[in-house]
Amino acid sequence: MPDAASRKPKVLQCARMTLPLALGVNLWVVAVALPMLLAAHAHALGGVSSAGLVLVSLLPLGALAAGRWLARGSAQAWALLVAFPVLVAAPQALAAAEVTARVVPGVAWLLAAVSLLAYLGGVVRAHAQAERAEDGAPAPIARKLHQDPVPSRWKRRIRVYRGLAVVALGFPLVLVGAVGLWPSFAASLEASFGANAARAQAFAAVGVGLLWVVILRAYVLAPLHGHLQHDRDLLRTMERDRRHARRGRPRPAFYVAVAVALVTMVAVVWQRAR
Amino acid sequence: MRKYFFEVLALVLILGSLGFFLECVHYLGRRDYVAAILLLFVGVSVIHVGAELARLALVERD
Repeated sequence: MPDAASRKPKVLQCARMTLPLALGVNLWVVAVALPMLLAAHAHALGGVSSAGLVLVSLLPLGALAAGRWLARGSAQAWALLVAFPVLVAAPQALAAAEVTARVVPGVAWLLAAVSLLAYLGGVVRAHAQAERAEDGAPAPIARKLHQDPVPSRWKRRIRVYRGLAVVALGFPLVLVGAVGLWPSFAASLEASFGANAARAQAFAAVGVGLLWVVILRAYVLAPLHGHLQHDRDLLRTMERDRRHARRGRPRPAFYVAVAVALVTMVAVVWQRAR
Repeated sequence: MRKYFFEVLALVLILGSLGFFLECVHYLGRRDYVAAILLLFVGVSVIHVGAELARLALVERD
């Protein structure tokens, strides 16, 4: 019989994953179950295999369950941050254009975007808590008698974290909002794709979601993950950067990125002007 | 002073890249895929430049 000490981490892990699981189920209900039920109620699913429909609808829950039971690592991150959001969007992307247009109103996109954001935030938070728990309790720090209530380095960190939160919220809200609610974008799709406009809109929403997942992984989660690892890599890089900074010049990657941005901007102008 | 300049510039570039991504979406809607891909590259490059400047701002704090 397992003792209390061995049971405690499992209990903590269950409690930690409860919120992401609840938010994932909420996203599934908003983006998959309700539209499917509304479509079935409106008899808009004629000709679609019921077994296939049930399978496609339940696949996201399978990914969510796999993400819950997998050990923490890249496989779990892929299941929760990539597979589940993509599978949630798949039924609407695969549904006939007129079904999506008739059943899903524009405001539902906003609700789905907010649910997706809440879910992604919950997963990231659970991962951060799990890593912090694995690191154990922090070492005792000697405190001075006279010091600011919030040290300046913590103010700086809090500023950075708030900036990351704003970026993490702002990007998907603006991009998914633009795809789902921007009238001129809907008009462009209507003009370009005609009867398939709703399907193209769903496809664009999936593409924008995937783009955001890649950006989130590379520019938000990677720095936070490095911080949780006590910034060993970052400290090494900073030491190297300090040596560079003393020369007053940025790294070569900066010049490459500036050059790529300028060349592609010129290419866009040229492509539009010709 | 340089630190704040780099921080503000990094923020402007990172948020500014959103504009390129929006234009990318706009061109996708018009089925102008070449312009959309080019704008995607511009957005990623601009966000990368912003990240580099944020790194410089971090180094400047000392």
